[in-house]
Amino acid sequence: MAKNNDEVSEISMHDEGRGDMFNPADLRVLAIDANVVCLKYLVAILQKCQYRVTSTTLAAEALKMLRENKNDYHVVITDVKRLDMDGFKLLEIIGLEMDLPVILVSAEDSQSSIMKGIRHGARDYLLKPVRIQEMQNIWQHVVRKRLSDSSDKSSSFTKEIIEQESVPSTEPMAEAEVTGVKEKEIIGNPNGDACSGKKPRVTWSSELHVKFVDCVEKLEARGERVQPKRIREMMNVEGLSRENIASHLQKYRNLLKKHKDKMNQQDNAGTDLNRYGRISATKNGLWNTYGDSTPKPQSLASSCTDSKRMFFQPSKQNVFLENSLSSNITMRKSVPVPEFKGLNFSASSSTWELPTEYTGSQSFGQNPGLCNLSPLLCSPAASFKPSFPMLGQTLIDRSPASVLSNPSYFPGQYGEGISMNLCGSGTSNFREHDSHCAYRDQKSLLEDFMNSEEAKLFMDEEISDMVNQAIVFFRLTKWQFDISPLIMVQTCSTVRQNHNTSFSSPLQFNSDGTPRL
Amino acid sequence: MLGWGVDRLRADMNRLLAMLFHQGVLDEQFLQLQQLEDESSPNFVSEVVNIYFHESEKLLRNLRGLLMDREFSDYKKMGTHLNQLIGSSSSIGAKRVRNVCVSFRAASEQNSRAGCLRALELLEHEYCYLKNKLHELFHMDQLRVLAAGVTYPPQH
Repeated sequence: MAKNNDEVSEISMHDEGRGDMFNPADLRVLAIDANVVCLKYLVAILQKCQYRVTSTTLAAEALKMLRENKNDYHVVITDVKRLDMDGFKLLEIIGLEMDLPVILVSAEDSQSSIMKGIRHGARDYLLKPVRIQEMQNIWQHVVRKRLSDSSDKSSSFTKEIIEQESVPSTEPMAEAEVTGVKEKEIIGNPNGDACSGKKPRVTWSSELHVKFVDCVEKLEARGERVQPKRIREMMNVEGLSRENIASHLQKYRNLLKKHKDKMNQQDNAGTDLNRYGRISATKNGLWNTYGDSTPKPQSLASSCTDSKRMFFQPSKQNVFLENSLSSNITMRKSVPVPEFKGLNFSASSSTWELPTEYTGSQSFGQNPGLCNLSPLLCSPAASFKPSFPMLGQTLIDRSPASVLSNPSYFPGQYGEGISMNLCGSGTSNFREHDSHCAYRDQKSLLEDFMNSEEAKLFMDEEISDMVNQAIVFFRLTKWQFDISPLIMVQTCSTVRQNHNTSFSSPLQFNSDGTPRL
Repeated sequence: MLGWGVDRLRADMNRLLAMLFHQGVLDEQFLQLQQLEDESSPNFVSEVVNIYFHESEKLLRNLRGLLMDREFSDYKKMGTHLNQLIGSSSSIGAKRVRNVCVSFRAASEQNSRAGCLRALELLEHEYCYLKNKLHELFHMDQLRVLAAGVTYPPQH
């Protein structure tokens, strides 16, 4: 690393000796925030990134420090809503007078505010509270500025800088790659309806997907080209960017392509896209067996708290419109062995019926009681056979939920077997197990489920993240703990679900398989 | 004997934390705070939270003062205070408090005095609940530390 510095400082002698700037760890930051709590948190994060931080709550003091020696700082981070001076004005002054890159931080993410920031020359606009991943990348703004400044001087100079930058970064988090991704995001964001480097997370709820499919159908019927832009206009949903639609469209198309061949072989041919669309997942499914937001039975709660603590990356808040905090499962400390005291199934299993088969495709889409296609999160009593008309055959003969929820479902007792046809291959896969863990089969189901692309298309990101966390947990603990994956996912989910209680009782079924609502 | 106490306390703390998460009182940001705590800043969480309490109480008093005034009309000022509260609450992960502040801010933008009063009551309630629970948590933490036999000056 030291060698790198020497080379860099040789090359960048034009930079008034600020060669060490290219080493991200030496970044010198001035942090300004009128809110003491936010400032303290920001400083802590920056120090964790091993930057050299100076901080103040006052704009006047900040300007004084900058004017005294602007070479002391590489980048300035400031907030927007201030009492002593308008944040945007401060941003302008620093940009013009001291020519330093300025990053804005704010609790507000309105588009107008972000636009204003950009117009006043901010390099980036981040939402409070800032994440450490964002702070680890701020050095890119310094480099970028350098490159754009020096590109006026000589092109060979910039070439050398670029070559220098390709030396592997010393930061353990592979910053270069992340930076690359971030740059793409910043550059490739034409709509401007998200701040640079950050996109609002969109949940493709069933209603939304239905709308989406309707629009696609309409466009196809009219003979128009199915373009994300047109879809976006037709859907007329706030907060949905062209990119969101484009990526969803791509997923959707891949899915269609996959089943195109199967479609020809089947009896129920015809692209009933609406039915296809309506089978898609609701946000919350029906799985909330406990009905309300009261704390879970103590036995479960106590046995899961440690795991919750480790893996809890809950609510992305209102995932649809706001920027969300993505969940990163980073295990910084070594994994403590979770305490799993007696998992008390008897209390809850009494409310679960043995699942009967449920052919669900007709009933879907007509009432809020949709079975979530992410079957894991179905009410444990819900076992359903959604038939994708595209495939003309059963995808899932038995929902994993029913398997997971039935505590007496030990390996080897499948009876007619479980057909895990998430990919629609049409064969039954009998699972051979010789594990000692009662839930090992369920865990494999969990993994299979997550590997299925279709499932991913219809699960919203929150749910798939929770399931992912559950899988990570099981892998890390090497599947040793005898805990039902359903419980695991429930654990990850309920801690955030305070208000999203859709149904007060598990879904029950009549003898003919229709749901009793 | 002492060891058993530490485990018990830790389990209690975990349970309390889990409950707070479950209720939506805290969110993952609080976990972030905990991750920032290390040998170089051993009391980071309690420090930040105490600053938060201190600042928030000032803001709450201001808000109440503004609303109790009969000739009150300065909704903009209220908005400023609320922005502060929103920022600091989201920085420590106080989700419910933050959400109440957001709706409070909406009411103030509509210049609705009644709405603001309702929101203020709710805010004070949520804040008190948060404060009590966090104090409980820190108290348990102190006990745990003592039980572990470490010489450690307890925080206020």
